[in-house]
Amino acid sequence: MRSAARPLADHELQRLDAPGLFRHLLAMRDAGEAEAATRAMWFVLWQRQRWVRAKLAVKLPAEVVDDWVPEVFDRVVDSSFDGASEGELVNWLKVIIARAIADFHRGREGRRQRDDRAGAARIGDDDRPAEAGADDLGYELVGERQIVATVLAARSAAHREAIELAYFADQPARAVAERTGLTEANVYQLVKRFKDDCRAEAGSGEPG
Amino acid sequence: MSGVDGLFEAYKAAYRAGEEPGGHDYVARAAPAERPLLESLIDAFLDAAPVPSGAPPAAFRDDPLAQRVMARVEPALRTHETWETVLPAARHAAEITRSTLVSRLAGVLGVGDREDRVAAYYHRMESGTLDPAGVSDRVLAALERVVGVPAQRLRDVGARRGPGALGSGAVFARTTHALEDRAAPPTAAEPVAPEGRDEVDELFLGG
Repeated sequence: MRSAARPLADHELQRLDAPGLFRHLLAMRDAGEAEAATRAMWFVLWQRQRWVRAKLAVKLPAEVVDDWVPEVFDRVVDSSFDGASEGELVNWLKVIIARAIADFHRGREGRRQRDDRAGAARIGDDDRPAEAGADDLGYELVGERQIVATVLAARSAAHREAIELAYFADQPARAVAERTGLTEANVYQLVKRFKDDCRAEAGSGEPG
Repeated sequence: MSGVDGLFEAYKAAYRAGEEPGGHDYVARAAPAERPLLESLIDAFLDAAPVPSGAPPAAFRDDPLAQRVMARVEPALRTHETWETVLPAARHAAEITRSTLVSRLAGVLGVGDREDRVAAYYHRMESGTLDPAGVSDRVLAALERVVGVPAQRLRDVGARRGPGALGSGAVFARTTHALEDRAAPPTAAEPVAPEGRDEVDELFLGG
C-alpha cells in the first residue's frame, strides 16, 4: 500500500533505491504532484533506461529497440507497481519487457501471415508498439531464459554466488574465493562446469 | 574459446565500456544452435550488471531516448488516479465491456438476478458519484476477480476523489477506450435510507 508522501528534492531522491523511487513516483502522481512525479521519473530512467534498452536489444532488431523503450516505461507507470523490494521491481520490469518482446514478435508474425495472404501488399506497421495482449510470455522466452537459470538453480547458494561473481561480473578468482570461502581452483572449476552444463542444457553439444 | 564464449566476452566488455552493444546482433553472429545459450548468458549478465545510482547528470536530460520516454510517460504522471480513471482502464485491459463486467460482478457477488441495480451502482463508481467509503470490501474483492486490480489498490484509489467526485461533472480519463458501451449509462441509483436497503444497496452503500 502506498502512503501519503511529500515531494522530495533531488538530494533526497538520490538516497532512494529503485523501488523506493518508484513508490515515490506513484505516490506523487496519485497525489496530483505531477512535477514531483516527473522529477522521480528522471531518476528511475537514469537507473534503468540503459538496462531496459539492453534487455530489449537482446531479442529485438536494433532498428526498433528505441521505439519500445518508451513503451516499456509507459507500461510500468500504467501498471502501478506496488511491490516493496528491489527484486520485485526488477522482476516486474522483466515481465513487462518480456511482454513487449512477445508483442513485437506476435505483431511481426501476424503481419507476415497477412502479407503471405495478400501478396506483397503492405497491411500496416506492426513493428510499432501496441497495447499489451491479455495473454503473454508466448514467443520462445521461457525456453531460452531458463538455460542459465536452470543450471544455476542446481547449484548451492555459495556456488551460485561464486559463478555470478567470477563469470558474469568478471571478478578475479582470488577475490571470489576470499568472498565465498572457496579456493581459487574451486572457482575456476565451478565456472568451467557451469559453462559445460549450460551447453548441455542448451543442447548445443559443444564441449567447453 | 568457442564462438559463444568469444561473443559473450565481447558483449560484456562493450557493455562495461559504456557502449550500447546490440545483443541481437551478437546473437545473430553465433551459430544457430548456440543462439539460445548466448541470449540466455547475455540476459543473465544484464540482470547481474550494476545500474547507475545517484542523481542523473544534466547531460542525461538531453539524451534523445530519455526525452522520448519522458514525453511518452508524462501524460500518465499527470493523471490523478481515481476510480474514474482506474476502473475504465482496468476494464479496457481486461478487454471486456461494461455490461460484461457488470454481469460478472453481479455473478461473483451472488446477486445475478439484480444486475440492473449493480449496473447502476457500478456506473456511479466509474463516474465518481458514489462515496467510496460506502462500497464494501466484498465489492472490491469481486472487482479484483473480474478485472484483476487488487482490492487494496481500489480502496486506496477510492480514497482519492477525482473531478467528478459525488457530482455529475465531466470525468477525466487519460485515454479513450474502445470498449465503452455505446448505450446510455444506467440510471444512477438513488440514495436509499439505511432501513430501506436491500443486499445490493448494502454492498455499495453500507461500507
